[in-house]
Amino acid sequence: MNFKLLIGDKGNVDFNRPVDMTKEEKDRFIQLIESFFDRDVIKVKNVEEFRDWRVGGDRVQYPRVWTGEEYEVLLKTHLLEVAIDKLGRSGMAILVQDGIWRPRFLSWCNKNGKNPFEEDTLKIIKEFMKEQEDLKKLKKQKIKQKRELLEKKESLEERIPKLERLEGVGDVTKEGILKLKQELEEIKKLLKD
Amino acid sequence: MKIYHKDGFVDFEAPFYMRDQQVEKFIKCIESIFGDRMVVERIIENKKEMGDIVRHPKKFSDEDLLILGNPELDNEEVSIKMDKSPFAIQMKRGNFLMRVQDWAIKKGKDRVTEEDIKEFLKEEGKL
Repeated sequence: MNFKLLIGDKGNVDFNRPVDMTKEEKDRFIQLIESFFDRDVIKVKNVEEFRDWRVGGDRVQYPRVWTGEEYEVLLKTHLLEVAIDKLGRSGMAILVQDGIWRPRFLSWCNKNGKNPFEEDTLKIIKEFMKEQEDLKKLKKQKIKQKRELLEKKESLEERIPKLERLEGVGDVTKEGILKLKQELEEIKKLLKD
Repeated sequence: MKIYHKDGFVDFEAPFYMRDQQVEKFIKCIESIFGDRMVVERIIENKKEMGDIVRHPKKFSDEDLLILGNPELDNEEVSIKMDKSPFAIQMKRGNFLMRVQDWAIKKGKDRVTEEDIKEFLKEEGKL
């Protein structure tokens, strides 16, 4: 079945749909891609489904997650044009990412006594990425915890005065209310910390 | 860059970018695999409307470049120090550090110090 190779006026290249290929065509196609870009940044992956959008549609940007291999190329490439050709990313995309990533990475290397230009660069980059990922997870976890504490605080602040008015009625006891007040104080302390 | 495949079909993870010269070479090569099955179509991509945004880019001074070269400062700190937008810092910084590093490697330097950046700027005729 025929297919289109779409060439955007901003330099983005795409197929108009997933392309049916024989084994031989697929092998030659992958070889071709590997010859145009840095071999290490190309990953071939079996997927459950393909994307349902194409270049030229409603999207303005086509973000792709940066991999350790791509960061290695970025770090070892000293000309923007060469980085563009090796990564298949626009100059703007590279500058934007590099401006955030490089200073953070180099600062981390300095703090941890690592020299990414002499040692195993990819290993150091992956170590850095793992640490960043862990920090991100921890931050998310803390935000979630804080949100839960805030919700509990608001609920207790609403419940306690109501219970105080009902003290002695049914199973509402002074001790029970005191316990909730203590819990509220603990939550406030945790939120302050 | 990921190439996805499933049941004999192949696709890209997302569109990729190529400079004009590369695109022409790429078309020739890919035509040699798929021949008449493939048609090249040039399209207009969706563009972000910049509207009436007026930009007033501020030049980076030599002192600014010295600060940019210090990886110990994060972009936010640098943007406050220089009174420039974080995006302007981001755009300038990666490329500047890339050039400084290239220079440092050629000089056989392990770590880039402030003195090295001064030397680099001097060699570039900036200081």
